[in-house]
Amino acid sequence: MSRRQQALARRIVASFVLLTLLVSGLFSLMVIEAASYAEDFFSEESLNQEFENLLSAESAGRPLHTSRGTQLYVVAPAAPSNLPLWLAGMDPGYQEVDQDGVEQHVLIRDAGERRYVLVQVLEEFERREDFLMAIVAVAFACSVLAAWGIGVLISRRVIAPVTRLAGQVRHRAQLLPLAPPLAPDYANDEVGRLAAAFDETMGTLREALERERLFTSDVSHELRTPLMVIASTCDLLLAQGLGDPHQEEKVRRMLDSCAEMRELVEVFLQLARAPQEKGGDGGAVSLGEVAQEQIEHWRSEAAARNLELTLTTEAADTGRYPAPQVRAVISNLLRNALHYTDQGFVRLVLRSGGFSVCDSGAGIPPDRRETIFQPFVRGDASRGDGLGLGLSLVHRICRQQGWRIRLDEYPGGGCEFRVDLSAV
Amino acid sequence: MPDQPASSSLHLPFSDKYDRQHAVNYLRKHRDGIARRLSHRRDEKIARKALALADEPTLVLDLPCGAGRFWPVLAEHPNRIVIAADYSAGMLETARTHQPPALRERIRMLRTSAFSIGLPDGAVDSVFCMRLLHHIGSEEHRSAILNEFHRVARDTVILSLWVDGNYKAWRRRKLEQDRSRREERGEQNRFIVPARQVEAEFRDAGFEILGRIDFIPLYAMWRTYVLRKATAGGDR
Ligand SMILES: C[S@@+](CC[C@H](N)C(=O)[O-])C[C@H]1O[C@@H](n2cnc3c(N)ncnc32)[C@H](O)[C@@H]1O
Repeated sequence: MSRRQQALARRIVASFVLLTLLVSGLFSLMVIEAASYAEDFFSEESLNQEFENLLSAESAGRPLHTSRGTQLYVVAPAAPSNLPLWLAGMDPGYQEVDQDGVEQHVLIRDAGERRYVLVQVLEEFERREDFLMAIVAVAFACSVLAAWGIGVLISRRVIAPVTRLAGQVRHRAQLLPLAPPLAPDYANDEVGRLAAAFDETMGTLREALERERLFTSDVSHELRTPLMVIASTCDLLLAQGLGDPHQEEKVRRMLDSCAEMRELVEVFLQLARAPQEKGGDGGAVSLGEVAQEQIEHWRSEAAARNLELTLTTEAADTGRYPAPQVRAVISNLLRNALHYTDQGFVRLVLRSGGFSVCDSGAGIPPDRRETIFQPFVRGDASRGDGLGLGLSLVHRICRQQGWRIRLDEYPGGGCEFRVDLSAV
Repeated sequence: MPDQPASSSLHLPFSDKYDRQHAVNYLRKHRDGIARRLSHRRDEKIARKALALADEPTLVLDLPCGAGRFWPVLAEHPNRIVIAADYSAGMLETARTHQPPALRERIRMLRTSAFSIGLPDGAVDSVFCMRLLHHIGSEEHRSAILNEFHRVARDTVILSLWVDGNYKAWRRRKLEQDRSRREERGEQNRFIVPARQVEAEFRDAGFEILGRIDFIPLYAMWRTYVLRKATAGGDR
């Protein structure tokens, strides 16, 4: 279970509990208020009634009788009073007094010269009131508990489909295309609509990817024939002989470029066909051969930019590798290095099981090294020249072939692109 | 999709005992007898529970599918597609012919080895692997299979195996001790793995454990695990 989902669920539960706390708290308060209001009302009524009875009993000359739980004090101006102290200072009227922890209802009335003080303790009422309070408290606790329970349940109910959908959506692009759509699994509510929208987007994405793949493979495929024609025509021209060594040199250059293009087309075709599949029908070459040839190829460019281009063999490598791929990787790395180096050198270093391309350029800061292999990311944007695809292509070729490529800092500040061919 | 399992991958001798005849017997075995049927019923119940724990995956790789014993359960979810894979062509053939045709429409067949599954990375929602891992005795081979599952599954793995910590495992160990005293038996092809160890292996392979379901708690050796690919550090 993800942490985010838990947070969402917790928020639902919290709001449930809070709301209940508020509502049932309010209710409880109201009940308590009502009870105490009723008590006062009842007590005042009964005391007044009793007082009236007393007055009429007195005027009729009958003995003064109070009901149970009620005490009467009569204060006459001359006579000594047995009135308890706490009642002495009170004003006439009805009052409720908390005395020794007991709620006392007091009615003081003056009639003629005398003051009548009626004190009532509603024991029975108090007991019932306490009982009522207990019930209210229990109900309050129960409702909060119930709210918590329902909140948990509902949040599970509501969140579960969201969590599941979120889980299903992760890395979905990799799933085999025969995977069933998401939407039928969900009710036709917001989540269901989200799932349907996702299905649709996924479909569009798949189509686009497929189109792109087909495009690349079509283009590559279709380019094969014209390139072949160019190559054979050049061959023919050379075979016939042009009589002019200058012209023949030009045709030979055309032939070279043509061969290079055919190889690139092969590489693209393979990348498009099977991004995961290793392979190479392009014939096996040794690292040394390709390195030598590429150094020759880029020598003039290096000279034009006043850079020293060298080939160092630290240890001989005996492996054979698919020619188009190795060539494309070395060629692109060399071109990249030459392009981003203003002065100094570019070195191609061969090791057993791999090679490095090093330069004395400005280098690439560590935080940008990860992104440098993404399509259209360029070392220094101001340099222009659409070289953005070069490193990305290199990266994709390496991944397809199971090679490992790494970018390190070369001693002195430049870059070292290190390729390990043996890494599986 | 490759028809043949990659030849370079691991190969264990037990994989070859599942020929056609064995396959038919295997299927029959699970249909006969009350005890068998009850046990199969329990297996199905566990499978259902495990699938629910795994959030009802919709694209499932049933590997090894054997004779397709779990297809009816897997197909209970109406929106599920099953890729049924096995190393043995005989098993696949039996499964194909012995299962109701209604099921087959939602089931694709694939002959492949668990050591090198002929599917790309993250190709299925879940790998459903019943009764294979108890054949794998060495940690190295188990780890090869687990890594392969981690590669092919997008989200979860459901697998069953024999673990210790129950009566049957204890009995078995005792019997084995007695037996080995008397004679050297031919090499065994089913193994118990200590639960703690195998759980550590799951974690090493990059899984977190969503649930454990025992066939009969404290008594039987079969335990089904539901694993999910761990997210932290699991992706690049
Ligand atoms: C005990 S059965 C289990 C079948 C099914 N899951 C079940 O529970 O009924 C083992 C199956 O594993 C298959 N198998 C053996 N080695 C394999 C391997 N290396 N890769 C894939 N499947 C394998 C066998 O062909 C057999 O069908």
